[in-house]
Amino acid sequence: MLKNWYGDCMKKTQLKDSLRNISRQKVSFLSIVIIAAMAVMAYTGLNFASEAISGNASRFYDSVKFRDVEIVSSLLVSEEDLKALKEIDGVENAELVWQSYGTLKKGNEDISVSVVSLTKEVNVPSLVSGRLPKSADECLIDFELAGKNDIREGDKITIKDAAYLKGEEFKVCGLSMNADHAVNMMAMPGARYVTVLPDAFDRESLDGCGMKAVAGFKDVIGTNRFGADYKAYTEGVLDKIEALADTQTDRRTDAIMDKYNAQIADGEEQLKEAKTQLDAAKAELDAGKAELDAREQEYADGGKLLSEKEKEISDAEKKLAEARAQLTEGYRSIDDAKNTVRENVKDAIRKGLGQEFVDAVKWGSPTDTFDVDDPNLTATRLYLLQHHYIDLNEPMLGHISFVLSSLLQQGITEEQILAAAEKVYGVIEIFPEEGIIQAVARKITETYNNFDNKYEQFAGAARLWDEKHAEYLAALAQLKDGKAQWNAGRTEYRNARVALDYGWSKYNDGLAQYEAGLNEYNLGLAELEKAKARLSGVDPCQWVVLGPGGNGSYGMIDSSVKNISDMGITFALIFILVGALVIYATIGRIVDEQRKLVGATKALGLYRREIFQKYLMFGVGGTIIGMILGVVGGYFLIQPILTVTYGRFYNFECSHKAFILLMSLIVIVCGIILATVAVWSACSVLLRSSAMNLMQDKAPGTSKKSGKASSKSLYTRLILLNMLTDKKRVAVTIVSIAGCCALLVGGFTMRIAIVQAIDRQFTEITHYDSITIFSDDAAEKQLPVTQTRLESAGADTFALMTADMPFVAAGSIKPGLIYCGDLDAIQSFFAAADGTAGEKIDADAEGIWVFSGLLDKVDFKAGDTFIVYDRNMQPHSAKVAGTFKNYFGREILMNEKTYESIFGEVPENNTLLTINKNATAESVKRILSSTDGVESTAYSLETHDEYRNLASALDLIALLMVVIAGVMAYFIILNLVTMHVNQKRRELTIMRVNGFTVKEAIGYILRETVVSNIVGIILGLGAGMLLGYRVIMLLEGVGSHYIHEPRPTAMLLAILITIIFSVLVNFLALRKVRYLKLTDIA
Amino acid sequence: MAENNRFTKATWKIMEQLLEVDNLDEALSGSLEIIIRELDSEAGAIWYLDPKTDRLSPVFHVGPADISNISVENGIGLEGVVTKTGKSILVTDPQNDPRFEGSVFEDSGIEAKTMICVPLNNLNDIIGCVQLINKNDGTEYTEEELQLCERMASLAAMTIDEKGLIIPEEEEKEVLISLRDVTKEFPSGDGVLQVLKGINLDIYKNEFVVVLGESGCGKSTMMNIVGGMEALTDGKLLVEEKDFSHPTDADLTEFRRKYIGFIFQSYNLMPNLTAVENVRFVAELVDEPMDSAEAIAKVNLSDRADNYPGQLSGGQQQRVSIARAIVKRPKLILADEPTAALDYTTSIEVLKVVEDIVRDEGTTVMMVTHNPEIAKMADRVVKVRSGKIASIKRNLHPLHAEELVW
Repeated sequence: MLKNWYGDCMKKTQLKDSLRNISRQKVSFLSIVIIAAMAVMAYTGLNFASEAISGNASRFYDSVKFRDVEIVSSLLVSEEDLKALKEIDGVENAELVWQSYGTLKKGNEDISVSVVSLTKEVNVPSLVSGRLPKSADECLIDFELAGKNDIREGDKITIKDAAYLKGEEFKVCGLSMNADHAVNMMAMPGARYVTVLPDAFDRESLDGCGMKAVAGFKDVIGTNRFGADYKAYTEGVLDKIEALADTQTDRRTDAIMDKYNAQIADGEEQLKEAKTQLDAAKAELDAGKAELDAREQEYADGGKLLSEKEKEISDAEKKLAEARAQLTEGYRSIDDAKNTVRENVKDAIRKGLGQEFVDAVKWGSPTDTFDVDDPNLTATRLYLLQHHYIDLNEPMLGHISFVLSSLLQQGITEEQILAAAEKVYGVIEIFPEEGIIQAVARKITETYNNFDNKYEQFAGAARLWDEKHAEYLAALAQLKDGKAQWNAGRTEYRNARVALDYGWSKYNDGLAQYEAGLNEYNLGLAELEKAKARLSGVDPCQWVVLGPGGNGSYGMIDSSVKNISDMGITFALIFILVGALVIYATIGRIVDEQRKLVGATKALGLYRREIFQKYLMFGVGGTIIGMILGVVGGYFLIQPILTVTYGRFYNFECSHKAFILLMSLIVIVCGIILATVAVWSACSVLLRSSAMNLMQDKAPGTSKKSGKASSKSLYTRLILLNMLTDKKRVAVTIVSIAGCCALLVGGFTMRIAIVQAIDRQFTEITHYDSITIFSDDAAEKQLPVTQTRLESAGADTFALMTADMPFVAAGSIKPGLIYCGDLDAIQSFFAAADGTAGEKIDADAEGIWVFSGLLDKVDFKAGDTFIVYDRNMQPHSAKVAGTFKNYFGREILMNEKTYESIFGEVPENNTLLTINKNATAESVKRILSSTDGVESTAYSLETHDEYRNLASALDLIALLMVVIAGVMAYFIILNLVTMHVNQKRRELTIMRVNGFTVKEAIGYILRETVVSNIVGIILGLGAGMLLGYRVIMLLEGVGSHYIHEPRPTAMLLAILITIIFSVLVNFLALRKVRYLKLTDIA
Repeated sequence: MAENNRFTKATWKIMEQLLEVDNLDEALSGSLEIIIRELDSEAGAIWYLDPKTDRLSPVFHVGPADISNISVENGIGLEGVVTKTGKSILVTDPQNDPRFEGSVFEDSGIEAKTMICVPLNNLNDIIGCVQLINKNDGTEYTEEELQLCERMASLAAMTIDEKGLIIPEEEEKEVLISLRDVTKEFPSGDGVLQVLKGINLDIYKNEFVVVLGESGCGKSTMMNIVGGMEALTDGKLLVEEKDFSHPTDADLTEFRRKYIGFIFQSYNLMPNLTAVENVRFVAELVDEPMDSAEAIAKVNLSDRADNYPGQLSGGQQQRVSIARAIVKRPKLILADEPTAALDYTTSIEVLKVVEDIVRDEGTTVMMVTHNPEIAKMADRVVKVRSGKIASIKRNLHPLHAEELVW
């Protein structure tokens, strides 16, 4: 083919000449090749990478049947809604989704999770391991969440506080990757999914309605989900869904109103019935109380009687005690008398018989103890002998006889007794019927009576005591009986109390029940009124229809795909411009150098096109080779670097490479056309010139001389003259250097603006070390407690209210995050400076302070009004107070007053900003992690790192652009300087031959280079600033705002690199001057 | 027999040279060249005796040695003895020959191994001698060769007698630049190409030297070395007796700046400067330059002073080039084929300017050319062959530029 080509167009020798021409101009040719390669590599590489990322992401979305739309309704999504959704043309599948936020308990840690129902046709979780749940107590867990918290398949997990979830305990049956979370947690933080069967939700209480619906569209599988076609197609279907939303929301509103009106009517009826029952119960209670009161009176009377009887008993007891004392005393006196009697008997015997007989008798002893209460106790009984008592009612003779008789038992005979007695009394006459003993006893009794004559008196006293004792015992028996009766009465009284208490408790229970019932009734009544009021105030149903872009991960990937592609175009434009200029300059210089040769070849009869082909081959040949290398480099070098870098943020496999044949061919064709135009522009004038003209020395355009001698040396003037004479070359040099410098400035600006914006956010604006958001239920109780704990630990805290608050800007809904609180006090934690004035914002200003990044996207200014949505997605009109400087995040500041005026409710603090201050980070972390009810805590240090990490992907693009621009800059400068030196070679040699020093000769070239570089750098800085600004604007999103001002560091780096390259290249190229062969011109 | 034939042929050639050439200088120098060629001699000279001073000076000499500025007393040295006695001398063993007391060629690096010296006898007097030294093949001169030389000398003497040789009075000249045994080698493939193989040459102040030679003989290389544009490989370069054999680049630049003016075949003007600016561009390099306008006037280009080179003809450009060369008031102007690209008329114009410069400014001009006609206007003509000085001829009666015809 080549043979045919050169056969047709080029003669063999011409081809040889063209090839040798390339060989002689290696540096220039190589520069064209490399510059074309760099430009195409940057463009194709970025586009391949963009395509590869979108392709890989699309493949993932196909595999999980990613929803093309998600519908969230303010009044839940019903089956009817779902049916209507499925009937829309373009909708392939639709399913209801139940979703609830809860806390996964893991040791002491609470992890916020989103529990979501398993779907079958849309947004199907991709299993990483295990299987899908089969029962309501099984779940899939997001693999990232599992990995981060060491949760494994088979583990049992507990999820608390998840509304509508039937159970809390779940067994992990598998790990999954959810379609909603294509981007990993590092890049897109948020609650990760725990997937359960729909049965795990209490769907009955939701009337079978889902929290949202997801749908997949027809014919989207296999398409590029980030391409214009897909977006246009989904937009079309989304429009239909939006139209459906109008109908369905009206229906839903009506259905809800009907349902709840009926429920209110039922409630009213139930309350009426309850009131009747309550009234009846009240009557019963009143009757019971009257009876209880009567019994209480009886009880009181009984108590009184018991008291009287108790007093009587007490008196009787006192009397009996006195009697008892007297009896005791009396008994003791009698007992003493008895001892006297016994001693007297002894004396009488001693006197009548002798001591030995006294000793022989076993005498009784005085009474030791006695009990007056003993009914058998008697005073008339005297134990004269041991175990034998005498009755004092009997005469003394008998007692003495008894004693003497006892002697017989001791072995003493009657004769002995008689004998002894007769010794004292002489013979003793023994009467008939009288024995010895009785006779002796008579004698002794007489003796006794001689010294004791009170025995009878004593016996009488003993008898009297016995009488009194009998009386006492009778009274005692009577008292015991009385006491028994009183005790019985008292027991009865006490039982009455118990019975009464029981009665009262029953009554009180009844009363409490009644009051509770009444309270319930009143509450019910109030609830009913409230329900009525709420129903009357219920906002119409609203649908939020979220297309693919409504998914955070999709949005991020889409943004990356767009950013990379946009940057490819932006940078490539400069690359192409510079590349074309370099080709133009190179060919122009070569043709100019070969001017005479061109003239000679013309003179020899070659056609213009034949001469043109030679240079075309040089320029276009180099460009084609470069472009092919660029496509290869873009495919094999840039693309993998970017896909690997971006891939680390994605959960899906991002290893498939993309090759866009059509784009590559278009790039090559455009490159060829551009190169051809550049070559033609460079040689057209010369080619049109006559052979004679060309063969003559080129003279400057004018010979006009001022005639006025210049103060500058001719050497200096000549340098200027050269530049003025060769304006085209100088201009191209300047523009080329400016282009490279602009690329460098652009690349560095992009990198520095992003990194500095992140750093500024966390040093100048975000002063808090952590932000903790409490769940709505726990905030009221836990927030102040946590605040106190943190402050005790030495930290500073600030409580405020935060809430998601979408708003309408530039015709679409943007996500916003309210920071509501004391805007003066918040400054120490979140330094919001007025976006225009630069000073602290006016804390009392009426309206909302929006983040300044919006200004570039939306023309918001103080005093404007815009629509904000509350948590029920109801729109409210809000006024813009101003803008505040912020780089990352979507905070919207307002004071409490503004909040109340917009939303009609008092803000409730649910968020705590903490500055560690005197507390250690660990202690703050410990406190926050051990606090219940914390929905999420973000630590600024970690967030800062995450942002830096995210920025590193953009960093890499910037770095690639800088490297490519750097390589280009090197070769451009090398080419230009080499061309310049080659062009001036003869002049330099002449100068050297004529005595100019090497320094002067180098200076001759260098001064122009310095001037070109300075001018090029100045222009490059300007263009670079614009390029950097453009790139930054491309990269910015609603929640990310980078530094727009020119970055001096970026400029300095660009200047430095350009200068280093220039110095390096000039050093190498100008070495030639030192070694110029002076004899070449001879 | 063959030897006789060779000598006979040589004799005839010499006769032809002497008889047919109008210019006696050329006839003599041509004859010397013939005999040197025939005898394959290394060098040779025709010495002429100045009766006034009774000293011998070389009128023509051929070979690598430059003995132009040497004179010997009559009767002293081999040349003096031969002239004095009128007897030829053949030296075959100079070390042991009591007659040999050294050679003037030795100062130029030629060590005598064998030598012939024959007297130039006219009818009345001995007017000088013809001297040949060494043979290129290393053999010794023979008696036959001595006889041939005597024959040539007789013929020459007869011719001089017949045509009359007027030798102008030679002044003692001050040497500006001396080349001694200068060699120059260039790498060539795997080996080395020796372009100059031992050049010995003195350039005197205020003389016009023309260097002739065929292409590739080394004449331009020699001029480049003299001009400080190229370093010699071996030997010595003396500039006003100062050794410049191995100078630094800065020294060479300084040398070119102060001493040298260049005139190139291709003019080499700065295309972005006008004629006068080209001159001024170089004038700014030295402390006391000639006025640029004056320099331009000297080359008769005042009316085109403000024209750019592209607007001038070749001859005009060359004249600008000459003006640029003289404006520094250099001690030596090197002109490399200045008329090669010019037509006859223009060439004569240019040569006339050169002639004027030598005459009016007292500048030494060394011009390389392959046009022998131009050599006629030189004070001396140096012929270079195969990297060596083939001959140095003193033009006893240089022509003016206008007299040149080719």
